[in-house]
Amino acid sequence: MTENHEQPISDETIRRFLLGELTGGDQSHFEEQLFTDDDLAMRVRLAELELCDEYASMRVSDREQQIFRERFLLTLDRKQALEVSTALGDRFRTKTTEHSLIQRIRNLININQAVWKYAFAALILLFVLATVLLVTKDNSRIAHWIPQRVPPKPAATATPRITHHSTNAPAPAHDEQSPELPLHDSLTPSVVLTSNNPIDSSPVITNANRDFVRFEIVLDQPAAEFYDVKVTTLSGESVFSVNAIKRAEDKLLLDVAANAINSGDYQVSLTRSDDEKQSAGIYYFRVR
Amino acid sequence: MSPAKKLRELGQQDFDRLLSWLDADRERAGFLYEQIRRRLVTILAARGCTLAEELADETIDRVARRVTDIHETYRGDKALYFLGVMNNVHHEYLRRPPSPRLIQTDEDVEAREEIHFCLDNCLSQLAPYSRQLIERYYAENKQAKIDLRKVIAREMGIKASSLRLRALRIREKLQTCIARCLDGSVSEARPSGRAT
Repeated sequence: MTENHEQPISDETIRRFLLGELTGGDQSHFEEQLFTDDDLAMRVRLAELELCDEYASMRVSDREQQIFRERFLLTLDRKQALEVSTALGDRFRTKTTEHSLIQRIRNLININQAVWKYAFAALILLFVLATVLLVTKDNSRIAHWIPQRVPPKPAATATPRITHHSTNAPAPAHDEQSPELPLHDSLTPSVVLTSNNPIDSSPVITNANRDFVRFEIVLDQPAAEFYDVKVTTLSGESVFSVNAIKRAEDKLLLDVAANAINSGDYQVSLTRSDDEKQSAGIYYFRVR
Repeated sequence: MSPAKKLRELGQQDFDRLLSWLDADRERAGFLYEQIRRRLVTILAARGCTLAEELADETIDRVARRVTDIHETYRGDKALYFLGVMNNVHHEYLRRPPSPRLIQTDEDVEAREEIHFCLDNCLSQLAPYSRQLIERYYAENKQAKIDLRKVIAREMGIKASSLRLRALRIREKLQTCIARCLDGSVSEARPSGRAT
């Protein structure tokens, strides 16, 4: 049993030998070589195992399956080899199939995949758009979602009870200071002037600490739209005059700078601004 | 007792003489014995013999009984002497009336469990590289299996035929290990099933 330098035998011939398909001359030749060629013997052994593997994993044709059962599976060693092939298949095929199934699921939900990123982005966008649409289109529905403010329930006041504390204890000093009142913000006092009111009963104005004085001149007959106003002292000295003041309903509003009128008695002469220049009334006031 | 049965009752002395004839080194002789027996079985099975193992043992018995006569005179490849004797044994077998072949119909669950146990045991004895290779080589089914093997070969930078040889050699080791595991023997040179 040494090395043989004859023409190498093909894998196909080895397979045919194992399945008992070699003819008389070839069979004898093969047998002799098998006894003298260690390499061939090893190849035959490996081919035997491979045939078992193929049969176990059903990778042989129907014809070969039948031959395998009838002409190959004749020895205990080969039956055992087939059982090992089946066991190997059971062990690793199952394991890999399970593994690949898990792997497939894992791959399917792999967040790193671009398709999932786009899907999530689209979902978020859709959600935002739907929210905006919902808010703009149907405010009333959203109102249900927003929790309403519940006014605090009135807390029950504890009934005053006589305590056992000392009754003659001094009352705590009341530190709380009253807040300063806001400054009156130049609320201009109005001076109402009515006609035919004699000087003695005319309004008295104190012009200290004011910027101006507002006059409300009540019209007897508000016939015209615009009026001319002339303010003079009782001695006839003109203080100031304003033309074409627009009537506001039945009165004229006139603001006069406080420093323009000193203490004294004054007369207001009113005339219509239209072409007729008709007198509309005399009014008096006093400044102190 | 049948003549065949009587023949198979090989004495220890005859067996020792056979091993000495095969090789002076006892260990080497045991290895050669194994090789010859396996080849006899392979050839007999290829001839369609349903009793391949039995006839191989009978062949070895006959050679062992003749060793005393031939060990001085025989020249040539000793293995081929076995082949000649086997041909005679096989011719005798063919002249016998065909014996009914036993067909195992029901699956032996216990035996299958034993094989799985031994497979695990033997896989754990493999080097990590070999185990990994076997795991991948026997993974998948049909076209996926073919594709995977191409991928493995590409990853290893070898041809598919080289990968096949590597995997089958590991498979062979595994088969031998499992056979021993099932026999309950670890490193006996002699095969089981033989009376000594």
